[in-house]
Amino acid sequence: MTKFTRRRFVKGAAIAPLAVKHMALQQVTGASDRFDIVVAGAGHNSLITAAYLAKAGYRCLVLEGRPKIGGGVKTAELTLKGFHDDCCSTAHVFIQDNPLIKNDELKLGHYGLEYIDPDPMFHVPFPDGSYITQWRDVDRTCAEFAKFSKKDAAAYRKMLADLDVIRPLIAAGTFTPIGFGKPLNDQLAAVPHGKQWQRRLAMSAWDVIHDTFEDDHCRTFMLYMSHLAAEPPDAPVTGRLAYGAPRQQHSGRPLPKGGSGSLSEALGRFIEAHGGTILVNKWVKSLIVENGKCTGVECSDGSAYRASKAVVSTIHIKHLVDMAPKEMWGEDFLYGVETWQAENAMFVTHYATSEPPIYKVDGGTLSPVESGVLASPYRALRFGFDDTRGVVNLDEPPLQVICCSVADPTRAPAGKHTLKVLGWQPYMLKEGPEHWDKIKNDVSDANLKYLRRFAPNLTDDKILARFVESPLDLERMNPHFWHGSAHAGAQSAAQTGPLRPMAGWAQHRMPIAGLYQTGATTHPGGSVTGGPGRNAATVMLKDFGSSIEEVVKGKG
Amino acid sequence: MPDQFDIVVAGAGHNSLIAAAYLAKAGYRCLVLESRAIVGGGVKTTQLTLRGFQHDVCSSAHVLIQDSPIFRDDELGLGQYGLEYIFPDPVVHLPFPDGSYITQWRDMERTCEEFGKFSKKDAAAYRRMMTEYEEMKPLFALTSYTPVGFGKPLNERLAEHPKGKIWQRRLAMSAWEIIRDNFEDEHCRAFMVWMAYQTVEPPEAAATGRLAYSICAGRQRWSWTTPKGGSGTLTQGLARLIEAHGGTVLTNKTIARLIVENGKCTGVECSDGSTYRAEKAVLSTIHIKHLVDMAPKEAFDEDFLSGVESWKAGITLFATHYATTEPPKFPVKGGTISSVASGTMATPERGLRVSYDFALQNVNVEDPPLLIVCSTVADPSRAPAGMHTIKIVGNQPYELKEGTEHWDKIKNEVSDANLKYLRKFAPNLTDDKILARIVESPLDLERMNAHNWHGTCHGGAQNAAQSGGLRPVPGWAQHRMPIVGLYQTGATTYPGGSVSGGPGRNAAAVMLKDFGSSLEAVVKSKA
Repeated sequence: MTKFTRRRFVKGAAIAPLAVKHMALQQVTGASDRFDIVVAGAGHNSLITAAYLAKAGYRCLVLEGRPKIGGGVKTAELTLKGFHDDCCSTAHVFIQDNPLIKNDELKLGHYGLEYIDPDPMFHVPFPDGSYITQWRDVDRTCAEFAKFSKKDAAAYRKMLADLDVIRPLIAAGTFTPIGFGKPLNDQLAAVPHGKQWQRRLAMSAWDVIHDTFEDDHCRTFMLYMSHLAAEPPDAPVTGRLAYGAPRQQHSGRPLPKGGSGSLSEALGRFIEAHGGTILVNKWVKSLIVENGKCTGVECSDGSAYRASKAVVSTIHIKHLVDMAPKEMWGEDFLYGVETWQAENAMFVTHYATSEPPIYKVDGGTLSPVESGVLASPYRALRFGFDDTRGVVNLDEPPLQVICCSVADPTRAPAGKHTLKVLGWQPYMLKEGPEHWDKIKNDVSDANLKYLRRFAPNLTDDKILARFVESPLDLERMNPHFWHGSAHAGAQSAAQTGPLRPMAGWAQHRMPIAGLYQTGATTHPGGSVTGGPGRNAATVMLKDFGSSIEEVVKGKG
Repeated sequence: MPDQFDIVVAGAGHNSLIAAAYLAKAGYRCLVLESRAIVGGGVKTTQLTLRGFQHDVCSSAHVLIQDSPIFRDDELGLGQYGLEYIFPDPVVHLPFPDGSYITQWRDMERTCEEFGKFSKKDAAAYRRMMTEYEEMKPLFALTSYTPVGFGKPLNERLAEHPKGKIWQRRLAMSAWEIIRDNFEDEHCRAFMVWMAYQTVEPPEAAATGRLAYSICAGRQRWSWTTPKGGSGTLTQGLARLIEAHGGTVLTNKTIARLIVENGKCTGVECSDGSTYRAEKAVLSTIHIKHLVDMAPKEAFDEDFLSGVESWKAGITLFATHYATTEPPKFPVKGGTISSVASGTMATPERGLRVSYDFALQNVNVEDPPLLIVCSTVADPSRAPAGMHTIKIVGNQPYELKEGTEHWDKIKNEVSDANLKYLRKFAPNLTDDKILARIVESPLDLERMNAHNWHGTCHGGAQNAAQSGGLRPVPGWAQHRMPIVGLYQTGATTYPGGSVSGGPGRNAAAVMLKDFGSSLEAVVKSKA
């Protein structure tokens, strides 16, 4: 298979100069040496789109700017040799509801994808020495709430039951392209107590949690889980996020064995096994547009690649609009791109350590894969306020702490660990984003100092190396993390559903004929859901006169 | 007084009076019951401080309603019932801590010049935004004055409009995002944030984008429109119209409960034991938080009760009314200015802090954002010769860490702090100019009018969860309540609070349809 791919590689490279020449002459050459689909960028979503299209028999070429595919779903040695760090994403929660995984549509197990299901899922220690641990077992988790309030334990149970009413609807809405099914609101109007969900979804996560729980520890835990997608929990229309903990009670927080990137790698193998070609170190510089139709892309090395059917982009919309003449996009789409807002960015430090974080718990200690600190419910209400003002707030910084090597020893040398400490800070500082280069090490130190209050074992002698990524570094690492947005931009009311990326273009079809968009700037948005990838494939296959259902049924 | 009524109206706010007015015009025998001595609810004017000083107890400006069919098409002919509007100029004056200021004038170009002092680009942005909103106003007005589900939803109308996609994004954004992205100067941003805040929705909240345009554009078009004699002149005129059409208005009648027979609401019982029957329907403007206590719980649907339980007050007001010998005098280039409406917003960031303080139940009197209303500048009839009424309004949370009753202990200090801050900008308001004051904490506002639930003057937050088809509760946004024969109007119903008359006219439209007639037919008929 790899050999075959190499051949395609050479072939693809060989035609490049010709392609440029032909482009200059505005001519169309014979289709024989062309690809059906050219995919610009290799994130998990565009790889999923390519995988379904390749399975359907289309000749796919995937171009990736970096030496390694995966985008935000990538694992690399960031600190020391033998330490495999997840560059961005780690837990694959929402994708478990994607038919891709749920129905094993692409049999990715055959291509090396294997999930580990850690238990406990999450541990949140509090400043007063108490804590809540979320276990895979519901009763055991409820017992954690009950330590603080029997009423809150019952409330958590009720949330799980309430969630069952709409879990299928939310999944359907997530993994169906905009306009291909009934809008969620219409479906809610038709189910028992759907009216209550119409109100809940439009409320803020804070309002829902504040009303549902009486104890501040329980509220803090629930708020923490509601914030993992980096939306301020006091923002309207974040009510669904209040159900973050109950949702993962069903799915768990699975980790791909070997690293988050194992998903992308498996998809890459699947595409190649289905006649596709993947080229790395290929920066897409511009779109080739002929007679108003997008017919290929040109790379920064001068090579050009033609697509006889379509071009799929996972380039961030803020950059995409610079890759073709402005007038091709239309005023409304450009307005949507201009008004696109970044999210509360992540600040990440990767460590190579000789120990995992060790938390004190009743009768001993606990070293979970994932843990988090949030001092009080009110601390979570600062995110939006600090972000709008461009203020770095290091007062009891809320943190997410991830130590995958606890559940997956293959990620580090024997007895060693990979540790990721993640906070949330604004990209746009009062002093300008470049100021991050001056302060990032201090911010990283402050985060570690605060974490040590809860995991005092993480002393300097346990730390072998570290790698600091400010919001500005995240953007440098991957231009799709526009303004440090690991989810491509805020998943706010203005940038979700039919408004993502912009009203009128939420169906993955871009204003330029033959150009489709996937990735986190499209519905259902960021995080490892595979939704944008599978939905884009659904739309394209329909436009090609086929359907994703047929392709899934088909052999191969 | 007739002893038989078709319609019994529980509560006399401007919306329920408007609904009753249309129904009376249609020939239905209406009885309006008001618990207070004067009708009007939040649209009322009384002597709160001293004899001869006519204070607007809650609302003052009547801007939104100017674009309603009620006035635009003069459907009720309220001019014949004593209603006359004043259109003051200047409209609003906003002084800044650095001594600079922005004044909004009726003349758009003159207002743009005020922005131009700080940024030519921002002056152009202001002109562009006001013009863009005026273009869309007919569509927005049409949806506000159409009951939910009676016409195409706004979103569908926008999808068909040439500029619609752009507005779909704008409406879902926050007012702050729009203001920050359109204006470069902090003074201009502070002015726009203050304007966007005037219906007390946090400007950084998602889906408040329209407020970055609507309030400011309304005032640019109509000024700080106020009825001659006081805000209450509107409700007094409506009461006269109702009586002139065979209706009856009774005051000092507090509703104790709804009469429900065979699952149908057939009347109301008052706290004095008197009962009143309605042959066709009961129309309530009682706050939903109290309405659900006026009939057996099981009479209301479980989902409705859940919706009432999750109802939020939102940002609440803290008001002080003064009787003075002078209006606020703000130093400006070449003299001083006194505007019917003025305000303070030290920085745009100060406006972004309010909802955070509310969540913490903090009383924050540091550089308090304020609205100052001195109607007598434009309407001398409201006070003795040469005297003035002044209202200073801030935003403070109803719920306090110490409990809401704590307001009675601290309200005078909070009022003093607001005045002290205002004096930085209007130094003339010294103690010797102040004849009397009355302080209204969020708790007092609720005591004054039960509909001001938890101190809210707009029925409750007008956020994404409590707007459009979700107001007051998903499934019950068409003014028809879960109990047959019971209709709801007022600020808890679509399109919500403020002096818009929308909930009143929309409720009348639904009821007349249910009665086999139509609001259009009633408006056309001579009466």
